Amino acid sequence: MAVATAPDRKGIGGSIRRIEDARLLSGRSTFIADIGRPGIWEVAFLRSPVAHANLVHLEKPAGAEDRVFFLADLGAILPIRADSQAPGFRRSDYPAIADGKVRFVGEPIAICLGRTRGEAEDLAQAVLVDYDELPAVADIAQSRNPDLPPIHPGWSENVFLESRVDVGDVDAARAAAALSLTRRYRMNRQAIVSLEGRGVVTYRDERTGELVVYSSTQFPHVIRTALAECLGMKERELRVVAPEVGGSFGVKNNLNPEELALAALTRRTGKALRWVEDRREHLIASAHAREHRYEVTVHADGEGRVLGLEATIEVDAGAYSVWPWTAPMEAGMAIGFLPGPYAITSYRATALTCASNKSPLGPYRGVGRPGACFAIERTMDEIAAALGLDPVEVRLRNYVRPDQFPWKSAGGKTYDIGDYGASARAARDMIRPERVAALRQEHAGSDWRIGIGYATYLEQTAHGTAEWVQRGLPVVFGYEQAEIHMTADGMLVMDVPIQNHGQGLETTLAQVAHDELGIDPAQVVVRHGDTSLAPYGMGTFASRSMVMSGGAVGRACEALAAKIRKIGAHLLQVTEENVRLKDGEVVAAGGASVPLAEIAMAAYLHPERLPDTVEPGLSVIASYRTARDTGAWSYGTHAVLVAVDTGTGLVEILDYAIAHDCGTIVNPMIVDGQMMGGLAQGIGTALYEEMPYSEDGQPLASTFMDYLVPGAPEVPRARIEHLSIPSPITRYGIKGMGEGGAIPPPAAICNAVNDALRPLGAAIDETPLTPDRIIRALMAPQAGEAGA
Amino acid sequence: MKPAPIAYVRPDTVERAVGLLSESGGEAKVLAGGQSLVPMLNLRIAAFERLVDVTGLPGLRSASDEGSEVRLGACVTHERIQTGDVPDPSNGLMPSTASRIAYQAVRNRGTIGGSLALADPAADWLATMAALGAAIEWVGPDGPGSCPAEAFVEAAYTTRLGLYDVLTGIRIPRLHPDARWGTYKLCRKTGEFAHAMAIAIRQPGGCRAFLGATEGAPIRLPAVEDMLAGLRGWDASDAARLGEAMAADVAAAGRSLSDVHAWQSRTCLARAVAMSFGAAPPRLGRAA
Amino acid sequence: MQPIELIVNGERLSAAVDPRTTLADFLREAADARSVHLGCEHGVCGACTIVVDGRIARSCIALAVALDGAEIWTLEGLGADPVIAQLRASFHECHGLQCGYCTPGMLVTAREILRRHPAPSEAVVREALAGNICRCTGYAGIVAAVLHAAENLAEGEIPPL
Repeated sequence: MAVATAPDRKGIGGSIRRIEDARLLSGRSTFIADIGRPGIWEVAFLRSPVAHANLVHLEKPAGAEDRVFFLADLGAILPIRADSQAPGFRRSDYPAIADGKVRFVGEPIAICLGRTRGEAEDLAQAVLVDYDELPAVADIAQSRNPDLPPIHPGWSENVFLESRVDVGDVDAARAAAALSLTRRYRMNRQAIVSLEGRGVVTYRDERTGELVVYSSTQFPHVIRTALAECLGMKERELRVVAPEVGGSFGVKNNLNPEELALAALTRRTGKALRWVEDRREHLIASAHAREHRYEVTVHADGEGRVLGLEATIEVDAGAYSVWPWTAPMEAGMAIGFLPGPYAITSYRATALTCASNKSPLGPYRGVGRPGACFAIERTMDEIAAALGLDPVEVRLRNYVRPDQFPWKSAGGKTYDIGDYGASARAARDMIRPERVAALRQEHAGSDWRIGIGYATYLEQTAHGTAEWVQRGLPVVFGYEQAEIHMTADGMLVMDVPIQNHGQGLETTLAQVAHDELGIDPAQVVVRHGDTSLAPYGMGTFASRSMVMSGGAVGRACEALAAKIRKIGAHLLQVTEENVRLKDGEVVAAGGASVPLAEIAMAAYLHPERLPDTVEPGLSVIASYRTARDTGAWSYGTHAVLVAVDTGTGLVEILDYAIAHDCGTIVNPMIVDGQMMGGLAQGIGTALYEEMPYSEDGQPLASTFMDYLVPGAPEVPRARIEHLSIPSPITRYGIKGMGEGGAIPPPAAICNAVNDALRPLGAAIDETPLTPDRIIRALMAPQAGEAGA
Repeated sequence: MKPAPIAYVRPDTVERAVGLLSESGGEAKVLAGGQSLVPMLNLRIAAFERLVDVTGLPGLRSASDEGSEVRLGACVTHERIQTGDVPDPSNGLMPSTASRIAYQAVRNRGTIGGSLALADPAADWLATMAALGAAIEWVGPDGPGSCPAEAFVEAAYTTRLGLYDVLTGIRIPRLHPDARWGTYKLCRKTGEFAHAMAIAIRQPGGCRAFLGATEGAPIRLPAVEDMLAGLRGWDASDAARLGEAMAADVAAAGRSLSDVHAWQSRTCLARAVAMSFGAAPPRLGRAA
Repeated sequence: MQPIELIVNGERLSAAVDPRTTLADFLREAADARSVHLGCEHGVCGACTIVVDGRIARSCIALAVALDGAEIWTLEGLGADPVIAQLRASFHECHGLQCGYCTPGMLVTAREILRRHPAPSEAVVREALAGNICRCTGYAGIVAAVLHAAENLAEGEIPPL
């Protein structure tokens, strides 16, 4: 990791230390479980133990009728309905709690209240439920099995959507190809695992008349809109607050049935309620991620140039379409991103979004792209291997060139700018492939096989209006707002509707304010996550906040700066053109200055000191959209050196290098931290994390004993190089970068493992690359004599 | 994930603990560190009416060096074994094993007796105690009892302990000063339970070799032991013969391992044997 | 309910507890120790790590009733501890935290790592942190922070275990 430099620069580009650290290091900040109310009830959900069943009889425990609630007890309430505009999409209604049928293990059936969580769980155990079990759809291969019952009423097959892309001339590519090869890849289902689970606290505020919903969420305003719709309430009757959020990564970016259930029950009963998700609930009943299967056929010329690409993509989206993303999001992203950074012009693909009796699939860091990157980057290595070429060289022959931007991809995306080859060359220089031969020599005759792997990724960020409209979602997240106030003593308060959950946005937005206003970041307070504080906005997801909220804050500060300069010039008795903002002061050309505090005092407490043309007060609300609304595109290349232990099947990462471009970097320390965090999750996908299901739909990893999350010994310190080509379409040239670190590690690591195993005739194309899978690959008939 | 209602009692003698267990008619459970039991209670995958906490019983926390053997009370923590706070009869095998159980915070409270009594096949002490030829001691309604560690486990999570017996201690014979040992376990990540495990001890008067993490009781490997007795050093070319001996032993024990598990167990065994001949534990360093 | 008496962060605390109450829940409720975070409730993630009788422990898999008579420290009570003070400074300097949920457990664990290994190598720090899951940082900043703290603590500032 690049060592963060001393905080000599406070604005954009400086590695200033984080403003939010102090309260988190105290351990005393307020997460959802820390929020109480007098008389609050603890909630436990009775969750389905079976994958697919009609509920033929439900019975509350005797004496607990006022502490156990079924759907009918919640009053008028609509199910969560995440409809895609795509033609042929099959709708699923996701009820707050089960409406006579359960469709996955973990689906809520009853809300149980206790004075302690233990007492609430006692009640959940005592509810009598008669399940009339139905056959479960537990595998993609079963989604079109006519013998299995439809998961949702009226469905003719258990498929949400089938979509197709056909551009260019794939048949001509096939005819012209010197090499055509077909490969199958699997990226298995995983859980998302924020360290803090989800959670909701609801109560009625009698003074304001609001139903208050605290939720560990990434987008409070959007949740308010959705809750209002499902509950039939006015938005003004609801206040949604996200407290300190202990990690999220997408899992807190959905309207959850639990949020709706608690809000409805508080509305109905007036009771204050608290539900804190436990780890087992998180693993089985929070949204899951990935579960992609690919069959990819590539046609290339003799030099490894791709002439055409064909693919069948299948994604198991689980039992319900999640709001607002819709079930086809994963497969849609995968089909759009499969061509990756390559100038592929002939592309034919089918994307199938299957339904199953599993927990619904939701957004998780990377969304669709880790799978697509895995498939295309494995394929590039297979081309290289088949032709006896260097894998980086094959990529260099295929990348979209710097002079080709903006590039309209075969997947229907518009790439803004970049130099993909520069990232690949930089990553190769860092990993030093020339040392592999010596390492192999050194370990010859041992169980260890050395391999090297690369993967280049694209990360579309700060998607604008056009992108979301194209996807056909219920909400178009095309902009962001910010409202800023200078206080009467000269500090800056910025109210933003995004939600910081570890990204350091309080710090980086303050850095933007510093550049616009000359104010010390320590004098800036960023408040977020509360519909009562900030104007409407979309929240923090899809690597959008630094671009979008940074843009909104920048525009607001720019407007405020103009007013401050006007007042400052007046107080200094010079013309406005002759002053500038610096170090917390308005400074005149001659050197005379007036501090912000004095200007604020004039603006609020001494209007007699203001020029006639200036209104009192120092508040601005601004909104921001990118100049072109097809996204700012970060990208990079990961390179990894591994040793595969053929005796056990373990993979050890010996070295990891990242060369990436996220445009203008606001805070290099924070960017490195995001990149390392993403890498850790990508390593989890590659080597450790899996949520398997049994044939009858039982999730098989319900604790951290079964679901392995990488720890400190499993995650190497990567070396990171920043290329930093500013985006032409965003304020400051910033590109988002929160997800990129998680996208290519499965591809790069799997490429390295295959590079190591290739001399043994063994191949593996399924994540996670567990010891057992690697040993089975070594045992496969085509594998030769192996080490053990 | 909170425990169901449960009663708790802390007796002041082992005999009282046994009495409490008997009175409860099988609905009580011994608590001895709780590092595995309390998670099971939190998950409600185990339910008992009463916990009988023996962790603090002085006799169960003590350790004594009795010359040819060491006796460890059942509630000696992994950490005390790890740091040498209790006598080590094993030429370093036990401290080394203890230091690789789970994580420090768990080692600080988890106990050797609690681990043995739970008999999770993937845990370390079952195979280690069997390999060291230790004896497990308990007290039950009929008084004290004991058996060789090798015969203690009947199946996964099932031991010779009766419902009302309290495991009180372990007697571990002192290894010969010239004894050399090796262990190797396959964990997917640091501190995780083992997926395969082997222990080899070479010493004058008889070698010992066991596989752990077998989904059942540890498997003793007599043919491997014979082979070890004849080895003068370790050469990778011996691996094939070792693997054949292991396979014969597993079959002779009436047990079976999946192909993958057998492959990995063979590796663990070969590395354990190599380590007993002084090979460094095979671990690659991260290149800079 | 059963009576217990223990010392939490230097203060004697008497309470009647339901025997099923975990130490973590007891500390959060009876001692307002909300630095004790619950991340798994089965002893794997380390977010609830505290100090019991001088050694770190997982408060989610201890029962409060069984800790009668124990001396307990949570992060709340360690404000004056020089090792914790340095660790806080080092975590801030080295970007050793993002969302902050694992942070209290990391700090308490790191304190014991330094007490067992006053001048640890990176490998030792990583192994010793293996039982504390961080989902945000990829550990680089945390490992750097523990090493930074070790370098910046003066001799004698780390009390032996």
